[in-house]
Amino acid sequence: MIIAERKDLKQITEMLEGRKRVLVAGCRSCVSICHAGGEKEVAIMAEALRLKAEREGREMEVSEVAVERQCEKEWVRGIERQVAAGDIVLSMACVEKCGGCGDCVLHLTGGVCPIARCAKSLLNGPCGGSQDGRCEVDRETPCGWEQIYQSLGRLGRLDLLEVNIPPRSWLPSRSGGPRRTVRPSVAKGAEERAAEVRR
Amino acid sequence: MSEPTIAMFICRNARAALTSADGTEMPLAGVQVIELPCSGRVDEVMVLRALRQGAWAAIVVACLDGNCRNLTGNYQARKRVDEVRSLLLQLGLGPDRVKMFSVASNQRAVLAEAVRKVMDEARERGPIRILEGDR
Amino acid sequence: MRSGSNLERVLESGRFAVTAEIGPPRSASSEAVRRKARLLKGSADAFNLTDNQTAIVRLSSMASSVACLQEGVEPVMQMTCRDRNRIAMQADLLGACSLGIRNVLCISGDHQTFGNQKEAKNVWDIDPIQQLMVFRQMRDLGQTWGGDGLEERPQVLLGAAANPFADPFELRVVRLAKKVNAGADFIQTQAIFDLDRFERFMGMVRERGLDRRTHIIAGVIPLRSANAARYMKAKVAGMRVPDEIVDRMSRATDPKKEGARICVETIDRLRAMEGVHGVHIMAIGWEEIVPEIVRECGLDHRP
Ligand code: SF4
Ligand code: SF4
Repeated sequence: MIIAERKDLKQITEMLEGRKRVLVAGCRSCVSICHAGGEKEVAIMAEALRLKAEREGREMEVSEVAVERQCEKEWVRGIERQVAAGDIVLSMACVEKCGGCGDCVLHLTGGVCPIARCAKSLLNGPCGGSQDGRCEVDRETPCGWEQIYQSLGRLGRLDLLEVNIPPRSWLPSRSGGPRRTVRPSVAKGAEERAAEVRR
Repeated sequence: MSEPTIAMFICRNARAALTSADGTEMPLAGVQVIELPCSGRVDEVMVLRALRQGAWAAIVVACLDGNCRNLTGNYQARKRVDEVRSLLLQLGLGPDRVKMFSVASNQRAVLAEAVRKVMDEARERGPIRILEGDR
Repeated sequence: MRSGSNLERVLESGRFAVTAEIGPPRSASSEAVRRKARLLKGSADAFNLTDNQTAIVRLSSMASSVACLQEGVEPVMQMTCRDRNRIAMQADLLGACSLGIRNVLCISGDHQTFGNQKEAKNVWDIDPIQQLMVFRQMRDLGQTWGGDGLEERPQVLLGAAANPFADPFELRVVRLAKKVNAGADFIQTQAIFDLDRFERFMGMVRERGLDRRTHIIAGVIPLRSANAARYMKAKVAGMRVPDEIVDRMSRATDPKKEGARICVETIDRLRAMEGVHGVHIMAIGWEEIVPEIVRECGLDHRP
């Protein structure tokens, strides 16, 4: 099951604070079908970011790309040059190991999902059971927080581990009921349905 | 302050409203008219781009409810306009910089009045600034 | 005083604190807790009542804490994030305080697969750091996390756990700092056998000045047999037992005595470390050894 939803633009622009060359990367597979991260959505996002940057008089170069499948290395390799040219990639694709929590924190955890990969879904891990890179639950399972630590280390963002992440909202997760379509503008509305019936 | 410019996305059928029975065109100083085969062709990117390229406001003009030759184009346009407004709000820009009007091809006066209002409002508020969206 | 608890008084006075663990029984009677409380009275400043430790159902830590209070000893109620969401946690904190409990230890809890009801659904709505944030807001601002004012604030000393022996090592002190920032008044550590590593950990703690912002109570476990040592070394995640300890235990003619001796030696070394403000003795199922160890260390005569 793939569910994708774009974050509030305010949150996204905060995440991009200070970046000058942004590559908005979409994916033509799952997130494209659910209208959250395909070419069209990439274009909208890029245009929105440019508009904001220009209005604020900030310099920001926004480029767009859509990969056939971001979850496969072969496809991603095709955009290596573009990725290297930017100073941040805003990926609108989904994550393979995602717990569907509805309020993504991957920007704080080096792209590794703590909800799905930590046995306790800790937001301020690792717990005291993490040893030799393995989870306390079972020595075969990698500790999600060890992976987050490694990933943030590679990104030079270990500072993120010093910050307490406050209690999160589980409202958009499963207890929030069925999900609505992401871009309301692509869902068929009542009037459209009625118009079609009339015909 | 310089005169405002606004972008008008208008469907081919509604466009007739810009011309009077005697064939004279409505005076449209400062209005950049972008004709579309159907208002359903408008999308978020187009509107955002128009604003980025300097329009002080953007309007989408479509046919009256139930009158779309392609059945649902105007309804689709309305949803996209709603979406753009929501995006603007999230960006900290004024959502009411984008408006939608429905007119019949003979409602010239109605359209002229709408355009005048948008122009006046734009003149009053000036070019789009950040944080005018009040957040 | 945040809580008015005995533990807080001892820690604030700068005296070396002693806490000990009491495991609640699998029973609807609190008699076993009472018996241990009577046995251990005077040997420690406060006693931790575990909360369904290793995910095995037992008498609740709140009921066990109340039994301790009735026996005249001070409890530290442990509360895991495994079994409650934030609503239940806040209600339990209020309930505990209304019953006279003044110390609460915020912990994540062992994963349910350690227990014998592996199929249970866990909660982890919030993690221990967030639990501290929530509880501190209740105590210091008199507000639930949702923002409702409390007629009466919970007077409570907030504790948290730290494990210097888990990985990645560099992160252990970072996580401790996060807990201190979130409001941990005291910290009880995982059992220490590897003193060298603990020493290095304390060095990092002092470097960050954390020992001055919280009270670090170092954990110890008296070993009963060489097998217990081997088991902990091999099977318990986040535990480090050096070979020399295992060797000493297997060579001993009286392993119990040797285990107690190792424990006393460990405590002596811990007391000498700058920034360590107390010890926490976890004599699981062997509580009767605690008074002896405390006496041997010259830490008896608790006020
Ligand atoms: S934090 Fe994890 S579970 Fe939540 S949306 Fe992101 S990847 Fe999915
Ligand atoms: S060991 Fe790692 S993955 Fe397992 S529960 Fe602890 S922090 Fe989560």
